[in-house]
Amino acid sequence: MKSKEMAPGEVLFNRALTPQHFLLALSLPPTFARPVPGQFVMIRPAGVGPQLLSRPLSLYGHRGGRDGSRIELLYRTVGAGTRQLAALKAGESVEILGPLGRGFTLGPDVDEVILLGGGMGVAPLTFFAERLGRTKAHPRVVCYFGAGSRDDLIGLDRLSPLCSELHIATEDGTRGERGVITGLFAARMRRHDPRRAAMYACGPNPMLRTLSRLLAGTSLRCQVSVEERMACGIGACLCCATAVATPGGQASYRRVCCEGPVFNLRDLLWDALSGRSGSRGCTSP
Amino acid sequence: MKPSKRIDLGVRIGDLVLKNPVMTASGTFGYGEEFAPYGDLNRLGAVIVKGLSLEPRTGNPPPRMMETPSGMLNAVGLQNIGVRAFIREKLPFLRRFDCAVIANIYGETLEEYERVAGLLSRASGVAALEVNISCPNVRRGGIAFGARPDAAAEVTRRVKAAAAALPVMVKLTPNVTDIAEIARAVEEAGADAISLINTLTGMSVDVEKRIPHLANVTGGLSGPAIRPVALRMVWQAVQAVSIPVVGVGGIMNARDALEFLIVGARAVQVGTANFIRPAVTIEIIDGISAYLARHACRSVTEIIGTLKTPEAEPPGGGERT
Ligand SMILES: Cc1cc2nc3c(=O)[nH]c(=O)nc-3n(C[C@H](O)[C@H](O)[C@H](O)COP(=O)(O)O)c2cc1C
Ligand code: FES
Repeated sequence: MKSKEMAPGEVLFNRALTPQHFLLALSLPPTFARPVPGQFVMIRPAGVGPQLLSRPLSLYGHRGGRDGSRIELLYRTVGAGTRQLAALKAGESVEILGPLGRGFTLGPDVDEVILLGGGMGVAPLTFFAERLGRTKAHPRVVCYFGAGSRDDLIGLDRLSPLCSELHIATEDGTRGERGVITGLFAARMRRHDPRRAAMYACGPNPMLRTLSRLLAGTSLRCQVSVEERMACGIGACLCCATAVATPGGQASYRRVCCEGPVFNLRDLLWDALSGRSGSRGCTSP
Repeated sequence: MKPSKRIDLGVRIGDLVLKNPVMTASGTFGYGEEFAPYGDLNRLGAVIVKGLSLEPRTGNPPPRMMETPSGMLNAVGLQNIGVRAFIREKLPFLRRFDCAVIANIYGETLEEYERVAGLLSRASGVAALEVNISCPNVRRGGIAFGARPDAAAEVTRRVKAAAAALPVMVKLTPNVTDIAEIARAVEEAGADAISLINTLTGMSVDVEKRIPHLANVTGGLSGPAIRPVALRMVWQAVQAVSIPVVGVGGIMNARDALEFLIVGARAVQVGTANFIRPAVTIEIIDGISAYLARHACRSVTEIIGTLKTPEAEPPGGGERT
């Protein structure tokens, strides 16, 4: 009956890239399936700790072999759970569930891939770019990458060799253009042909929201990886809901963990069901 | 180590016979199918599915969850596909397993509770109903029925009448001053069993932004943080009624489950722990067997309600007039 399990992982290294940013490499048993970029894992330190729930982290890298897999995760310490991860040392054990969710997909007629990322959004996008380099289609990759400041531009060294063009913006102007990355993209948007290009984005909600406004008047396809707090990661608790438009044009909630985390940007609703003043505990649609 | 086969884990909850006393708590195990890849559902005493209402419910806006010390707050708001879609789309899958399926039901009105119970009583493959009169995350119904003895009794009577032969278990809220009073009211109204506790109402604030962590502002607290409260209330309920009591709240392992059985719970439900280890219920069943073997018990019933206490009236239980 049982076909999946929570896998034990061993920390290979947990490197501090800045005081807040960490690169975690794990070795996992061979049962860990080959992930699709955009998929994530639920991770927690093994045993009983002060934090109960696993944390969802996007896959940043994967290498599979006969005697096991190696995965990489990139994260920023934002709360108690990620701080607990930051304390992990080489040789220590973690519990991993995954790979989970639906990853990015590439249409057949795409010869230009546009990546737009903010902050930690770089992780799934870099993993995606790396896979694209190994596909037959081998599309051109144009990347827009932004962060608050130079020090928050994590993972550039791995990302830049994977891109034909890399455009950078920081809000304080310490690297690249000054301003938000969606501003830089807006100025160059016309150069991309919607019939041949496909866009992939991941980053903070305000960034995605602005992007959705920018793309509203165009036919450019865009898939985004959405973040939401999760408890189970496998579709059972309904804690990770995000509002989307259904094919029938109605508003409804989808579980980010199993119906996402990758959604079509066009389907995401920013006001209908979300927001702090929305209809609470609303009943039948 | 596989525990000895000769130990009998079976328990009876009214007319409901379970092969072991471990169930999955409503709302933490989806409709069962989400967990099927992670463990053999045939091993479970019962699967209690996510709360069902007459019509589908959208649920609350996000964010719906926040982890808190030794627990979590949720404000899902009873999002569900509705009882008819459950019977059509989810029940056939669950029927394939040798495991009791208990439908958790919810209504905003007495009529709604009645109609949901009626529909389920005519469906094949439902072993019992659990009546949720204790959800803290919805504006109408739920806790509004669970916090008053007369209202709790009325829901129980109406569901019992609509449920035909199905055993009815009523799920109580801890957000009351006197749990014994509610438990007795529900028993007198005809409940076959009671289960407790549902989540404790709680709150958490982002101090940087000065906003609540949940869009719903308040949510239901679950997980090990609530276990001592749950255990105390189960103990009080056991003294107050003679129908079977099912213990829920913060059970993470076999030892925790045993605490509830020892104070008198006939069975237990495991909730939040499923999120942390999807196969935890099976580990708990094996752990109970191992404990019984160690204590030379042949049957789990030998330890139920065997708490040794100095002669004392339980607080709250002693307020009988
Ligand atoms: C995410 C979540 C959803 C829940 N949904 C329901 C529900 O639909 N109906 C219900 O009766 N209880 C629901 N509960 C309450 C649980 O069934 C259980 O009573 C409570 O979580 C305490 O047990 P625990 O500490 O083992 O989780 C829910 C709990 C959680 C955490
Ligand atoms: S995290 Fe539980 S349903 Fe998505």
